[in-house]
Amino acid sequence: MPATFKHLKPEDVRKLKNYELSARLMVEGWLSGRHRSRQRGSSIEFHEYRGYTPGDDPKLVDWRVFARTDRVFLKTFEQETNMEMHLFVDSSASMGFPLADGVSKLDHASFFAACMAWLVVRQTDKVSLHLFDDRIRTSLPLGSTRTHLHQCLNALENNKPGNKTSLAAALERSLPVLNRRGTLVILSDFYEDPAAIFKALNPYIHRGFRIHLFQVLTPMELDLGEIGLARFTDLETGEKLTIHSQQVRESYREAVRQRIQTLRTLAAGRRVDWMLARTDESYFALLDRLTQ
Amino acid sequence: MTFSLLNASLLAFTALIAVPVLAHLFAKARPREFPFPSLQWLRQVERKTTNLRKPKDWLLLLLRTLAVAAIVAAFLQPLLFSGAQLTAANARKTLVLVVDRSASMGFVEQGQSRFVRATAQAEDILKGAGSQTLANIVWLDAVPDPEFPDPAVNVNALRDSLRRAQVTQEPGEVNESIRIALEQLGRGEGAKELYVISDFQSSAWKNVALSIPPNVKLLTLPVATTEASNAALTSLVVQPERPVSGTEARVLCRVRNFSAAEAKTTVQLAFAEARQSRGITLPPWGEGVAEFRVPCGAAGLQSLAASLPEDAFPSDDRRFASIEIRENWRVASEGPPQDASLVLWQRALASFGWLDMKSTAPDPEVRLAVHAAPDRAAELRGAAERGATVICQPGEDWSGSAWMAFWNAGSKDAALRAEQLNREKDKPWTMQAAQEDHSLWQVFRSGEFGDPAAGNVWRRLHLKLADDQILLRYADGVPALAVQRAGKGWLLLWNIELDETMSDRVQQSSFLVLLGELLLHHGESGVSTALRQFIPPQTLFWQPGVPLAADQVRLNDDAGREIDSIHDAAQSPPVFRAREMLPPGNYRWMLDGQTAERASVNFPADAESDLRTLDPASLGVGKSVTLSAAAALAAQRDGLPLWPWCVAIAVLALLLESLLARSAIRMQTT
Repeated sequence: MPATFKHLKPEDVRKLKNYELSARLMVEGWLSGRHRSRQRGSSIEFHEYRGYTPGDDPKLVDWRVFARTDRVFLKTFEQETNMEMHLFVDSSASMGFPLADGVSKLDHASFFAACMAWLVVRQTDKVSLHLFDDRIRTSLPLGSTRTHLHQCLNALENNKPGNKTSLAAALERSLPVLNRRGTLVILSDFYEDPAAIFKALNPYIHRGFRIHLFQVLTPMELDLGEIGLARFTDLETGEKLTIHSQQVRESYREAVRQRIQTLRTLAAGRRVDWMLARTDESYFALLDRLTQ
Repeated sequence: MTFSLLNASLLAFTALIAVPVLAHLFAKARPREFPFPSLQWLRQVERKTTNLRKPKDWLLLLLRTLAVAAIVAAFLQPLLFSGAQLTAANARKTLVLVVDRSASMGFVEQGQSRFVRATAQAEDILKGAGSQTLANIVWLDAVPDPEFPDPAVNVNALRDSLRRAQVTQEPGEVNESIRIALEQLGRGEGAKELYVISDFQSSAWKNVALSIPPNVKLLTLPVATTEASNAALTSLVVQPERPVSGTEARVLCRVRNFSAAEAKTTVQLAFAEARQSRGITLPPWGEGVAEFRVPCGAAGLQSLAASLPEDAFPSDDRRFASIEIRENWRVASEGPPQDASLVLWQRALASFGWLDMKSTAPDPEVRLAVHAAPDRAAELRGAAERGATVICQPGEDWSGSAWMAFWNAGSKDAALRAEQLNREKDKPWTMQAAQEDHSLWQVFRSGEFGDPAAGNVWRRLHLKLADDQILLRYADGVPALAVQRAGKGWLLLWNIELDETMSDRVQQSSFLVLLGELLLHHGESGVSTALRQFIPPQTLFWQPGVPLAADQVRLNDDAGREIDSIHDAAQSPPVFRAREMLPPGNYRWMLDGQTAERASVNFPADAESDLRTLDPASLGVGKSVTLSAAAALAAQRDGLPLWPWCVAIAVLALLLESLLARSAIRMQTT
């Protein structure tokens, strides 16, 4: 792997060799032959016995067990599947908020996306990349080759913060092209209506997609900090607001906490994973939690 | 309290106070630009905090206005005059300072004695006196006196005397000092001011009723700063006062605790070459007694000194006394000539080496009257009241009035009745000890010296006495030996016949021991501490009793230094007197180089050791003003310049403004 990609550093690659995406991310279509799906199916790999319940397919009843025990059990098998991951990276203007060391929130998200792509490709599974703001700006289809990985990394490197965020619109636009169920990994600051986001996610949930939401926020956004009296400019809309940070800090924290709590509650209600990706923490911490 | 401005012409500059207000109104804050990912959440909280920005701005405005106002005020040079409104320094006036230099002013508080603080304050007051001021100082001590005969303008001389003055070991005569001070003020001119600088010691001031004329302004300056605690040696008693050589004397040191906490201390006694010490615990506001026994060596005058460990008030930590050790006690005996009992008595007493039976001194220490005549009763009692120990065996012819004159009890009609038994036929009277716990019987408790009540008696006097007076009684309750305190001496009633035809008492081995113990227990009382002891304001004196030339007598202190004394030949007999009150210590009157008399001067502990003070306001004097520092007095008189305060306020306000503004800037730039 040449060390010329901005978002995949050689030292990161060395660390990534110790990771393997496994149980937590198991869904149909994910890393075929190496991982098992929870979907019961007709493969040759026995999974378990379970008691019969009305509606079960009588074909699955193990009559030998019935003959020995006089009880009806079903014999289930693991279904071996192909695995696919779809990376959605928010590239709106708000993601261009600068951090220390000359990087931005978008870069932080891109580092994580690059790592995920590398892991998937290393495991000969498929990954797609979608860069969006209020529309899909770049969309790379599924692929599992090294060339495809390079294309993804190049796309991330060339990506610039754009306009307003509209994850809902991006998800709606992508729905027709994502045929098989897989895993959605969405990296965004989610500066839009949570209800609209989950309305757009519902079709994916119904189709059995495993969804991971990573909310990328800086400490400044979480805490406001001691900025003092300042004229705040919205990076997406250009609106201005003069305010004294210390005087609104407590209220601001409470507002952020409520917004995060809303998002987390909605996600939990739909069995969607939500995780806060603080930019002052290493993205490897996210990987650690994801692979545990 | 009034104000005035020295630079009133600059009042127009007060308009400058409007500058910060105008600047605040027209200045516009220019906050810096700060790009932020989204204002979504900030908009939610904006409304709640809009009004919160104002208080800090108002605080800044207030501080800036205050700073400008203080600077302008400093240029105007305001003066503050307090309520007392004393006469200005340059006006014609008379001021008299009563400066307390009694013993309690020697108490050291915070590293400085009260007296030093008082003189410093007095000097401050005099420093502010103008050229027209007549001033004088009245010293408050045992004999208050003014520094000048009349108030004078020579303030520097008064300041000089303040610097040289020392605290005395005397109590303070408050009323007399105030009287002298008012008298001095009466001789002055212009406005009259009376300053009293004292610790206002409670024991000295509590009964003082000041009466100040309305034209005199009284100012009291208390100099005591802390609640003082003190332990003091309040008395030193030797018993007996004139012990006999070879015996032991008892020395009682009474120590008082003038504090609300229990105290432990050690009393040290120095007598001759010996040193003894006793630990003693003193209850709060209570007292304790340390008892010493000292052996009395060769006859003569001796000094002794007791001391406590030195504290913040060392004056009352020492006490001195002089005792006279006698070669022997002089005995005078009387009775019918050839009386068998009298002869036996004389033989018995002569066996004691410390009794001088041949003395013809007019006032002997021991008087023995055997079968005394009734007309001797009053004379015998008089001798006891003067300090003698009188042993009396009344005659059989004593009437009731004679008995009353002797014992001061009974009735005129109840004559003493003699009783006699037939030695051959009747059973004799036997005796027993009364008051078994009396110390007289202590020596007999081992049995080594026999039974003090042993012996048979066939003749006696029948009389009745109170139980607490009886030492020995017959089996039927009639007293055999009784004792009574009479004035400074003792009366011993002896109702035991010694005539060998009527008694076998003298044949008992315990007889001489009983006599000896009886005399030692009821020898000279010695409770008087007045002997050769002087407490200020008493001046040390000596009245030799015989005419002596002035140059024959010198007064020395215990270290041998000569003390100035005067010879008052006008008195009869002439008196030698110390020229002034002496500090506590032992002193000697030297006659032709030999010690002729010893005397002690002691601290007036009763008056001065209790260092509690009172609030001068409680003295109830109408127009008095209590101040804590002389600087404040100057402010009352000359007006307190407020410009330094204005400058300080301006600096403080600017400092606070700077801190507040800097914190605001820091918050903006973070």
